[in-house]
Amino acid sequence: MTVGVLYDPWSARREGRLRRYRTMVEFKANPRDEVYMRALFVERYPGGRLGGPEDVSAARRVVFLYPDAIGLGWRPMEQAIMRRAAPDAELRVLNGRRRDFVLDRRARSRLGLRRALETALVGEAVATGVFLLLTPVFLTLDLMRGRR
Amino acid sequence: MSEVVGQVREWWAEHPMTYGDVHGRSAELPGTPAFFADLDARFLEWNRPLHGERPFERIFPYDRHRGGRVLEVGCGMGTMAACWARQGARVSAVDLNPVAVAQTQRRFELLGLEGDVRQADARRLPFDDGTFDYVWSWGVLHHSPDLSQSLRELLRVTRPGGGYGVMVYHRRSLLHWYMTRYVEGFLHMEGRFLSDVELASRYGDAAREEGNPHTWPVTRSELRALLSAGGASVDIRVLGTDLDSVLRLMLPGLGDLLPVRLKKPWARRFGWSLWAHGHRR
Repeated sequence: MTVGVLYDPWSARREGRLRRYRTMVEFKANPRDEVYMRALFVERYPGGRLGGPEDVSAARRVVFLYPDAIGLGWRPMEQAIMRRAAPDAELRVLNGRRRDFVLDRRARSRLGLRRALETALVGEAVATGVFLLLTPVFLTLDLMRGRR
Repeated sequence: MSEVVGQVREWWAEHPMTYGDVHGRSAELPGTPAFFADLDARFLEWNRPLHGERPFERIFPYDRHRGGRVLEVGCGMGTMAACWARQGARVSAVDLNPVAVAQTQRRFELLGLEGDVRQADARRLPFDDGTFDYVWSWGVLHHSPDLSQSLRELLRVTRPGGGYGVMVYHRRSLLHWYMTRYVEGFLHMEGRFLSDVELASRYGDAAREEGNPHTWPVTRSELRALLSAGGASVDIRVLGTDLDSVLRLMLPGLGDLLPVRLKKPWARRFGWSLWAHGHRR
């Protein structure tokens, strides 16, 4: 039996003090809505059924339906499911970019790294440093070439 | 290749360029004056730095070709073709996508403008050699699976000494490096599933949907080599009208506060559009 798990961590993130930060992260994540993810699951796993953590103990295969690409905000749900799923159950991801892959230890570590980089805005911090460093250089070059 | 062209035609027919956040969507009913006004407002706003008293006056030599024959390759919803017609040029326009052709014909009809608008493949333009005084293409040919042949055709139908202008996406741009390669290719792991061309096609344009069948941005030197080989003089400018939206995400907190003066050096080097123009020899 295949059980697909739908979970939308984004709805809870849209309010609060960090709304602006969350809106930016969500824009880049471009998560799909529940209707889209349901239809995608039915298309890829025609015999499967949707359920929550309480439904996975007898499943041979559990499919995590990330609405975005890398399952931002899914960590608590993943832990709850992994505690309850059978040890030999196959764990897979079907994401909102329509990619389907096995969620093994390697994939979990790749996802963990990327979630950290994305939520901590590490790439953006580096880009800001490069921008601040190079802008005066470009401005000087442009001035020397008579371009304002 | 013809299979890709068919996919490109179908995709753009289903998602015509409406200049909204999502291709193909508009609050207005297609073919109505309100529809054209809505999409023109968006398109003109996107390209504000290119306007003078007239839209796109800073890149289009309207006055030189008043009364002359001009051609747009890939007319979309006909905004630019209508600009040229209003300036007194005799306009022809082609598009691969039948929806774009029908909408541009409708626009001309509503505005009382004259123009020859028809469906055609940029790789095989249905015109004799040297027919036009000026030929342009805006944001289209990077979707052609054979850019080289499309540019040769564009120059073939331009008369010797006639002018041309081509805007295509720029691979050495902040948008491509940051949004396509870093955010989607690396962070979102799409690079593990897609080739470089597939990644650019999926995220270079229309990233909010499922992407489109073919988008391949070029570099300045690639574009220069292709146009020179077709017998044209070439001058290339990088247009950075996209830069605000990229910097807002790439430099969170700072992107919105930057004065134009600090953004310009980046826009003119790493903007998302290359504007190549010159004359056929």
